[in-house]
Amino acid sequence: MTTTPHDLEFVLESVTAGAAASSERIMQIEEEHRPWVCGDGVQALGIGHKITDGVDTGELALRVYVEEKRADRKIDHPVPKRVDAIDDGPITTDVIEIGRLETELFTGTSDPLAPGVGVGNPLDDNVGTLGALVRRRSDDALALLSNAHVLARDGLSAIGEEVVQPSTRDGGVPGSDRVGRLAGFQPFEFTPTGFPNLVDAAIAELDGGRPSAREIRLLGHAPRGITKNVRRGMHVHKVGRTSDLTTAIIQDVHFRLQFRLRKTARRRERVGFRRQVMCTRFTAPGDSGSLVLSSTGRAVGLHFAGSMTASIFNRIDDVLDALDVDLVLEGGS
Amino acid sequence: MTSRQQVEQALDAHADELSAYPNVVGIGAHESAGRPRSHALAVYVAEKKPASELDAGDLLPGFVEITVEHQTVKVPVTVIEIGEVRPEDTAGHDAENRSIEGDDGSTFVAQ
Repeated sequence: MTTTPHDLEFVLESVTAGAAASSERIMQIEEEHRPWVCGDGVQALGIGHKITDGVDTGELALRVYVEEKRADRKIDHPVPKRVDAIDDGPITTDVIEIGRLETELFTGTSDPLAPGVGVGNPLDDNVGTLGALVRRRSDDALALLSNAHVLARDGLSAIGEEVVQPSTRDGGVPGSDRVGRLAGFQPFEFTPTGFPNLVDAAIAELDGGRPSAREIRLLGHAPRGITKNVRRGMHVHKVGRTSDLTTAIIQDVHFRLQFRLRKTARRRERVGFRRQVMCTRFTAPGDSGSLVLSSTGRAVGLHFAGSMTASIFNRIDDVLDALDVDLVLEGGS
Repeated sequence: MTSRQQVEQALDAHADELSAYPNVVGIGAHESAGRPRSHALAVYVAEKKPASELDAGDLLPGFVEITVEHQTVKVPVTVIEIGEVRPEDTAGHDAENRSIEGDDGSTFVAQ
């Protein structure tokens, strides 16, 4: 029996179903093939004609895209030659080397407006990341959370300045792409010595022109709570405008940092931060403002700075207290 | 053997002094991977330079001292290179403004 495009689609859907398996049978297929589908090296799956020695055989195959081909004995869970999942007969696989798939910037319009996308202040023509939705404790107003250096021009802004998504850097237009207005930020304390600052944080109140969603892009869920329990060696992840979903390991929970921010439009001065958390590098310029989450999906911090080898975040409880807001959580109101 | 508490005490006592050295971007606590764990005060620098290229006064100390129960205790200092730290937006003003140096000529200017 020959396999039909429909057979191929069914097998592709089944082996990649993950937790979304809709039937007992699909669940079984997914489980059986999970080790190699989710294995090291497999980057993507698809459907196409099998190519053998550079010749199109005309036979439909399940295509498995890898960074580079390696001998089966060097792989824990090699891709099987055939997938036997349907009554019509085995499906042939075709392993194709396509090099490393890189993430691309999220520069598009997010509608509904969701955390994990780029936002900016048009007066700075900059871009950072919308970290999370928050509610102001005083009046329950819905706002978006990011850094003061992203939304509030290092603290030089006046309340009410526009926040646009996408940012003007990413092609957004002031006015028509406005999603909110600056509603509050923690001013920086500039000192020649000492580390008095705790956060680099700001909120913009949503103006309701675009609907919003609490679920973080690529994760599909909102933060599941917050945790103050931040330990060295702990694994964390974030979703940012530039580097998407990435993970890191915490290196130092006593981190005190000094760098320069604008004190006036023309002059930068020293700002010292204490109670910061330093982790292995998992961010890139444009990711500032990303919410940092624990492996259980609880918020632990707000990313704001980085170097060649490190990424640095504020503790989430310090951020929320400084701005007098609460995170909009999964399952909350 | 230095404890985590002693490192925390040393951080509070010596933060300003250590962060005033050229090239320092941050300070914190370091824990070695081996067993038993050994703790040290971490000084993070933009770039590690050989001692021969530094003025004697700019060389970070190998340890700092704290007082524990009337005893002087030495807390080791570990120098770790992490590169220059900068705010992580992508800004149109990056190129011009963020390269403005401070009046004191310090080297930890954000870029």
